[in-house]
Amino acid sequence: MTKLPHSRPAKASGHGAVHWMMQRVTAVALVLLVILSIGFYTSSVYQGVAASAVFGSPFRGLIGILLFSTAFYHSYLGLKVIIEDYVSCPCGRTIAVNIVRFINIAMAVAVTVAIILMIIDERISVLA
Amino acid sequence: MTDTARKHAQRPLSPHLSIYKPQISSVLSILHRITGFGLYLGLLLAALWIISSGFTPHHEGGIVASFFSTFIGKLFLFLWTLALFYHACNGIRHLFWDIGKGYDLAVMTKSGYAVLGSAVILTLITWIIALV
Repeated sequence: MTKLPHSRPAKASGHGAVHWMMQRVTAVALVLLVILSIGFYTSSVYQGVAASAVFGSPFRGLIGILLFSTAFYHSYLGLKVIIEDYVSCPCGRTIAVNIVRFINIAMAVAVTVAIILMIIDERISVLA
Repeated sequence: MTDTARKHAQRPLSPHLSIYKPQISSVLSILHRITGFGLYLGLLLAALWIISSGFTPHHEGGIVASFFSTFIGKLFLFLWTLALFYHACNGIRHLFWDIGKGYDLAVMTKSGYAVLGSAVILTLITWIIALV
């Protein structure tokens, strides 16, 4: 009976290629989104303007939701690669990657909800 | 670990980081990873800022906003935008490599310096616009 090889692949050999491509696709999307966002976001953060003034408008809020969701996906893929490079124990790797996955998903959803709430608030105060 | 495995692990390694001259290729590459990680930390902070603003409308921005109004906070923001522009420009350089262009040593060196220069210039332009 031959022994199991020391390094056993976690998934089938074709599995990771889509991550490589999505990293590039999200990179292109982020370049566009960052260019769109730089104008409205940098000065507000610096000068302590309320976030609701920035994200209250539906268009800017939409760009914000797209920006943060794409950034959290792109950074998940990037951190996955970093963790795979530096964590040698397979179960430590899996745990670390999943921690990042959970944090990123939770933050992306929370940011989306927060921006939608800010848009609703603005709309209510406009209608009042 | 077994006894042989432990003996193997204790063998001396050839020197690597201590003897290899840092070059534009290797330094920019590790900087891309370091800025990527730093950008992630700033992304988490920015997300917390938005979340606390959206969920508690009368306490705009919470702890994160008060952090950003301190000098260290503004320094962090400045370094974060520097990291952002560096990572984005070097990322575009990576995308050209992905379609097969720009591997020639002379081109790679020039594009490397172009990335460094663009990152600094874009950061300064953004901050001048923000402050004015």
